[in-house]
Amino acid sequence: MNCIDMIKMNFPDIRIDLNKVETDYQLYEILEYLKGTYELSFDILLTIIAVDYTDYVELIYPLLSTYLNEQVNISTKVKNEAKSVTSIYPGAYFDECEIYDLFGISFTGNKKLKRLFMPSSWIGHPLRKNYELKDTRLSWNE
Amino acid sequence: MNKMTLNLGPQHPSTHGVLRLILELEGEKVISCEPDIGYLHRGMEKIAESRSYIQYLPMVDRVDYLCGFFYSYAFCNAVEHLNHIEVPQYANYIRVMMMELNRIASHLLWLGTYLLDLGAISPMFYTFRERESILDYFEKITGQRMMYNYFVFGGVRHNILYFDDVLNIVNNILFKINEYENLITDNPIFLSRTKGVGVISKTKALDWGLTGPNLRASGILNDYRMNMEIYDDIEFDIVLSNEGDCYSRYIVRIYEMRESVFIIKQCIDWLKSNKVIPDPVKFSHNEYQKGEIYSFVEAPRGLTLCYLNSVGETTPYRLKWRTGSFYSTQILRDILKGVSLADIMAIYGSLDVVLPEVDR
Repeated sequence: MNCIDMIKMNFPDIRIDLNKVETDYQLYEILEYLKGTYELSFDILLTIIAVDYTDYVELIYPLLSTYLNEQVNISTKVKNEAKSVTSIYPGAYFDECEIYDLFGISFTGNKKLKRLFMPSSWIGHPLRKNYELKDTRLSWNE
Repeated sequence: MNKMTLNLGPQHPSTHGVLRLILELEGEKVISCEPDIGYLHRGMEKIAESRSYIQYLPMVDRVDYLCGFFYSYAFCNAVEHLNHIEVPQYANYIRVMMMELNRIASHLLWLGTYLLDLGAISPMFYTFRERESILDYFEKITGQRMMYNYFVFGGVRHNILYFDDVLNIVNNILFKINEYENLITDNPIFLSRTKGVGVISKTKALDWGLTGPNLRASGILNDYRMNMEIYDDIEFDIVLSNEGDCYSRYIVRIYEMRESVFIIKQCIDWLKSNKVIPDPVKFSHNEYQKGEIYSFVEAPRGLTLCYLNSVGETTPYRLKWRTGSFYSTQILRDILKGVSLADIMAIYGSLDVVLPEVDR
């Protein structure tokens, strides 16, 4: 059985897009299921991708199974707060810090959130679409 | 005993870049380690949002200057998939050949500097000598030693390749790898600095997101080249080692170089027997499709992901780089606990971290 079918069977509320699985509120449970089920063993969280769509931010979790040699993407939509997954994948720590730094999303459950790239005194979150660019060299196209 | 906080870096010669480790020490023993990164943050992802695809293409080599071809490939592959651009088979083989040569150059640099970190100076001169022969070849083909800008959407920039040069280089390297092994592999000082040092267990490697040679050195069979289309017709073995210590990470990289030579020879055989001139790329730079693309490539420092999100404009809506070194740095928080101060550089060096790749 295909791994997407297995997720669909256990979590009927998900939507399946072309190359990702979308969920509204069950992200933590799905990740726990994908890592914990022996036949699936999605044991590596590759990264967390955040995309700012101005009225919400989409978080995409690409997972890799070394057992099946397959890859699956789980996505969810958040406003300004999300649940940390560091208890399932400790490697998500730096990713969550990065998103906190560049998108301003705080992760509940991650106690040591810090600014990873920008200085701690920096104001604003650079990868947000409403972030004002003060450096004119960034807009060479005009 | 009193605890002491020690700042290692940002300008420490063994970090080969700018990494700061905030260490808490009890005597010689490390209690906790907190990597502080971001000194080389150039905002590669933000810059992508304000430039057209073709303007951004020369910049992707700079994400990791030691293996520019892999990053070019990941980005070109993403744009090609987005816009349904066909890549001729000929170009695919050239890409594989260039990437594998680049992998050898990257591993050679790692080998030299790692031995330098451990206190052996001469291996660096030997490995740089061989690496230079590869870089000279790259210069001949692309005009650049490190920032190639050679892959373009739909193929490669031009296909004048000097196959005899490549064969000479790889045959020489195959011979020299044996020489390095004679020098290093059974060296008692090297063994005592690396055997059983910095052991990363299977579960730890997976939990912290290690990929590439570091993961294979912990005994997990995972190589994304198996899933990549351009490697479909190419035979190669995946190098595995079970111990997960610094020594097995060294062994994995040494054998991977030999595998790369094997792959390069297959590519040359194919390219010599199929004299195909690629069609000129037919692709307008003003029409871009909408969509999301995940483009993976197995780079020398781990699995690299280029996530491209387009809404149909001339610039990407969002571009994200996933790099192997980012996670190799992160794992230091865990594996440095309990090791002695003198072993930090032996462990950190063995993970093959390149800082521009971490900070992007």
